[in-house]
Amino acid sequence: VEHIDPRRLHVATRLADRPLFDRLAIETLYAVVGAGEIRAICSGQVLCEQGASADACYLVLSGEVELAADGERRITRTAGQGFGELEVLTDELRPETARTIADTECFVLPREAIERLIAGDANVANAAVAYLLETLRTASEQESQRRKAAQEAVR
Amino acid sequence: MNTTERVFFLKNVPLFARLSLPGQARIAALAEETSFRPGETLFRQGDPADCLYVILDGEVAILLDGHEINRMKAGESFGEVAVLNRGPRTAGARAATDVLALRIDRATIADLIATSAELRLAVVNELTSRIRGIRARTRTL
Repeated sequence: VEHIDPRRLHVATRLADRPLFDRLAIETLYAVVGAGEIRAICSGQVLCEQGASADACYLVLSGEVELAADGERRITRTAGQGFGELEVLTDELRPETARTIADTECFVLPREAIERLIAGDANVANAAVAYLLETLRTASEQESQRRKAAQEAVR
Repeated sequence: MNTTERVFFLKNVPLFARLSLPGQARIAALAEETSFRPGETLFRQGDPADCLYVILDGEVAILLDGHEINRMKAGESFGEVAVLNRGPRTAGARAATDVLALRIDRATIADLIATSAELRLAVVNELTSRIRGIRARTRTL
């Protein structure tokens, strides 16, 4: 019987609340956690810069991370919250700079690991497709609303 | 176009380019060749989706709320989003010229996605590409 690492299992259960992963069974999530790493980061450290290539997504396990764009704070992320999944999948640049504002522990899943998981595990791939379809639906609605608003403005 | 010619064509369609040869051959064998006159509607926004299309020749206008938002050309596929979603068409499609296309039904795609890691990756890449396109268009509005 394989030894179950309780720390890894804890991260897996946290990951189950994130939209990209919430359709996955716990054993798949456990495997996903094995593809990433847990990092302890002091307060005040920059995790990623706005405009940089998105090379990983993050799940906050404890502490707090501030997301700021053009120098202005947009939002903070605390335990159980994450960021960066979409940019990693779409290969877009970071929309925000992420900086710890407390001593923080994060689960970090690199882009290469996500790509490997998608290629090698049908369940992860199906979860990614479902997540992207939902993102696409939302983006299409936003485009449609913006287009209508622009047409109304012209009239 | 015979099945062998279709296979060679599918090798250059991004959605199917990385699919194994047996996968491409299966699609080539099961796809149905269909043609449209200029101005003819392939499907309307909101229609139920039962297939996707690969353009062999000609151009197709993609319509959102009656406005053309994209123009698809030979070697490109469209209609896969609603097929994957099992939902209604998110946009309409109308032939902008004489169009020759391959029609691939949902069941064929679903079977291949279940068995092919390459196609799953291709679908993820196609969806991310669509998202980037929509976001880029939205930023200009």
